[in-house]
Amino acid sequence: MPEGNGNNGHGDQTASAYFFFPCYTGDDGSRPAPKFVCSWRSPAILVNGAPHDGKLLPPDKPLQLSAVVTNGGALPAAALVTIQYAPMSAHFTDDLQIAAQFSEFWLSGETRATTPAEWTVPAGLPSHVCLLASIDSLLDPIPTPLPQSIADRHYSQCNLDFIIVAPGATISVPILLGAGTFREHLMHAVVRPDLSAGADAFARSNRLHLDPELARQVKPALENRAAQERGPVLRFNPRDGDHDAKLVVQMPKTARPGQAVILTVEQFVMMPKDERLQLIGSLAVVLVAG
Amino acid sequence: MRDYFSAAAGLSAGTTYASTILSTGDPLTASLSALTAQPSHALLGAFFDALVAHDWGTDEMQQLNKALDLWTTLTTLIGQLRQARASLEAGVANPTDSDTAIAAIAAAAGARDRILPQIQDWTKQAGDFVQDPSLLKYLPTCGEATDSDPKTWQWPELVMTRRTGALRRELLKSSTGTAATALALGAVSGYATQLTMGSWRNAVVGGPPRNHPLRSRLVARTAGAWLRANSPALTPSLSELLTKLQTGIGPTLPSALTAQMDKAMNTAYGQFLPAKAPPDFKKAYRSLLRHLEILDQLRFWIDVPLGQPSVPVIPAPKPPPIQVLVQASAVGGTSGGGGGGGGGGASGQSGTIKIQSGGQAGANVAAKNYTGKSGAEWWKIVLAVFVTILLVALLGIVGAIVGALGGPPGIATGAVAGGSIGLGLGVAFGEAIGAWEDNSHDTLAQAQQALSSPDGAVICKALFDLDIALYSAASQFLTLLKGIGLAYPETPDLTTPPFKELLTVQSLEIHRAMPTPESFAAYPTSPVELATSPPQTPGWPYGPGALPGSAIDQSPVQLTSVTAASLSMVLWRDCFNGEDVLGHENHNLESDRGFMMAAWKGATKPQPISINLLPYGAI
Repeated sequence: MPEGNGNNGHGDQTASAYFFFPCYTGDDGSRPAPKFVCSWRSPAILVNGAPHDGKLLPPDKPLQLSAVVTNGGALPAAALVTIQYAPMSAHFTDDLQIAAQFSEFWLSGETRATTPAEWTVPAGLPSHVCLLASIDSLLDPIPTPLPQSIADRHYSQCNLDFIIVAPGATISVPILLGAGTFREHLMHAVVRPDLSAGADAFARSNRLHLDPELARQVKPALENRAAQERGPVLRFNPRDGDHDAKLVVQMPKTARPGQAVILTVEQFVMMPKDERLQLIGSLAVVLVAG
Repeated sequence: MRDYFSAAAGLSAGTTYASTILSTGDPLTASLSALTAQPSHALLGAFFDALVAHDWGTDEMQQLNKALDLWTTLTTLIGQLRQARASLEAGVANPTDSDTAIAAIAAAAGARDRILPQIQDWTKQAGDFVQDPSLLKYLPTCGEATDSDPKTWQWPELVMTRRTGALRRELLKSSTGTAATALALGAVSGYATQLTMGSWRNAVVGGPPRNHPLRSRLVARTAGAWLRANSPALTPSLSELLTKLQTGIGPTLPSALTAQMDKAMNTAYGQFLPAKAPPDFKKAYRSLLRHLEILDQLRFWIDVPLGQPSVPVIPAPKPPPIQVLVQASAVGGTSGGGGGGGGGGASGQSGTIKIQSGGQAGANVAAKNYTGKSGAEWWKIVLAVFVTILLVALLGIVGAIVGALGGPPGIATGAVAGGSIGLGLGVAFGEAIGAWEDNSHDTLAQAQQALSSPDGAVICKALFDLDIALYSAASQFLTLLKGIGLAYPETPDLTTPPFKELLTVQSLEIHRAMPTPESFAAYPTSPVELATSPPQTPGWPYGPGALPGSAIDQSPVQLTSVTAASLSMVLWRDCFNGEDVLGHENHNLESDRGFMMAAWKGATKPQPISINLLPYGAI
């Protein structure tokens, strides 16, 4: 099972600076977050002052980007918040581009959004854009070289797409399987219908009609040339070089218009020390029957 | 010198209260008119005990002068660095513009040869300053705490604990004219404020200043900052207080006022201390003005804006992050940051501190051992973070940038032990700077080549990191000064540790001195102080949860409370209606065994301490 990393554990919140992107009321920065939190959709990333809902960002139109940050440490500290964007990827890719940066100061115990910065979505981007926020401070640096992981409190993301699919139709969604800093590690990518409390809460807040029966019927699969396999679990090694993959799924014929299912793709790294899988990235595809 | 804000607020609140409740026909209205006619003199009177303290408190002023020098240098360096950054970033953004490109290379050379060496010097000096053990010992030793003969005590302690009422009464009796009367009435207000705020403070501290000098100072300063933030109408800013004294009284103390004070001191104490020279009030006044001036300059939140990235500061390829590995010996032989005062600190002696690319973050080393709950480790942690993370990071970044810009002259890129640090750049910048310095014919070409190469973005990123490191160092440097009561906390600080825990009464007990003075930020865990005579449990008028304002202001909801305003009013009236409380009562203005505790003598070292109330005419 995926596990968090050492830098995210409990107990350090009162020391020095301790930055994180709060993703629920009462969040103390401990990661991995509870099950009711969707790792693919952070409420801390704000578009035009509101949590990004994952909907398509209109190209060539200026947006106001900002991020909510908490300093749970004992000391005030300056930090650099960077919001980057990339094509849909299950993990950190080499294609990350900077959308906005904020250099700001947080008091001990303070939760506050950064000053908004304007960003115009470049024309020609894919319809879906992943927004990745990171925070780095001298008093609380992003852990390097390992692990670069979405399960680290220094990162937060909005990484989901909405696709309308006719009942019975099969779609193929191109995604990237990132390597980040784990180029020498064996990876697992897993796709599955998301029936978690977090997905349910997200659906309710976005007026989606999730249907558990529909979720049981869909049989999503991942394809990747390097892995030379197809199925709900993909094992691959980033050094093989091909990070392009596809999520293939058929909308059940029984789906009624408006019914939805959320598919998540989670990427795990196999830690060489104990061969345990650790969650490092995720994305979600919301399929809406139409 | 404990707190100017509460003295000023107490005087304002008392004056306002008097004008509210006194009718125009009340004889006291005329008697108190001097307060509004000569407000500067009244203010100086309210600062009377601080004025006397300035006759003696040289250690504190020396430390503050050093701190101000370091602070001024640092903020100047931040400004210079930002100018260099702006030039360099403009060059990277637009290398084809020849003037911009040449200016960028000139800025890089200036940073390498002037700014960065100064930052290195500052780092060394700041490290020495904060790690000097005398920094925590700037407060004079209290004679009462050592059971020494009161005749050997210094004036600041005497005017707070012996013949206290008599002295203020003599100030009033010796006053002739409006200004002198205002000063005396202000001193009476200061007396009242000391009694109320001292009681509140002791209940927050867990004992009087003789047991907890540093914590008492810290709480007093925090309370003052709270008053400034929450009662600004009553509490002028430090610069306003300074201006009020300078314009109303002048840069030097008039002889008429010193004569008044000398006479009062002589009448109150002369018969008991015939050989003791009175305070040098003129010198003390100059020192007081300087003190306000320094305190006003030691501000962070307004004066130092945070640097912003004007170009993306995560260039490709991303340079290796500069992080700090603190070896065990750098933190006093422990595995955490708890002993940060030990070791080589910022000077980076070989074998004590390493800087390397990557690795574990020093912040996390400090993190492991910090419980954060009691605040007992607060000082150690803040010191460790400042010395073993920020200063070391500064040295590392400076060394890396200098190396990337073509090396010294004269700066120690290897000053950091184990310094395998670098930005991994080529030689383009060094060569461009060399061409610029030699006024070579291909200066422009080399400049443009360097600026348009990936190295340009890397240098910008490194200078931005340096800017943030300096900013963080500035914040932490002032936090250190505020945290030991040398500088005032600012309004944003009041929501952060350790200050936020020092704003409400927690207990009503008096604790003995702590064996570890550096744990001053935490409520004392030492035994409760017992006494040979009542009151065994001191009476405080302010219960748990009471904020500093409850000891100052006479607001409608606090009509039953004792405040500086109401007590000032009582004492002022008594001065003129013949009751003359100050003519037959001396209070211990530290309220060290409870509110309105009479002046007393006795041994404080044994447990229980011995308490013998003093007759009015005795010290």
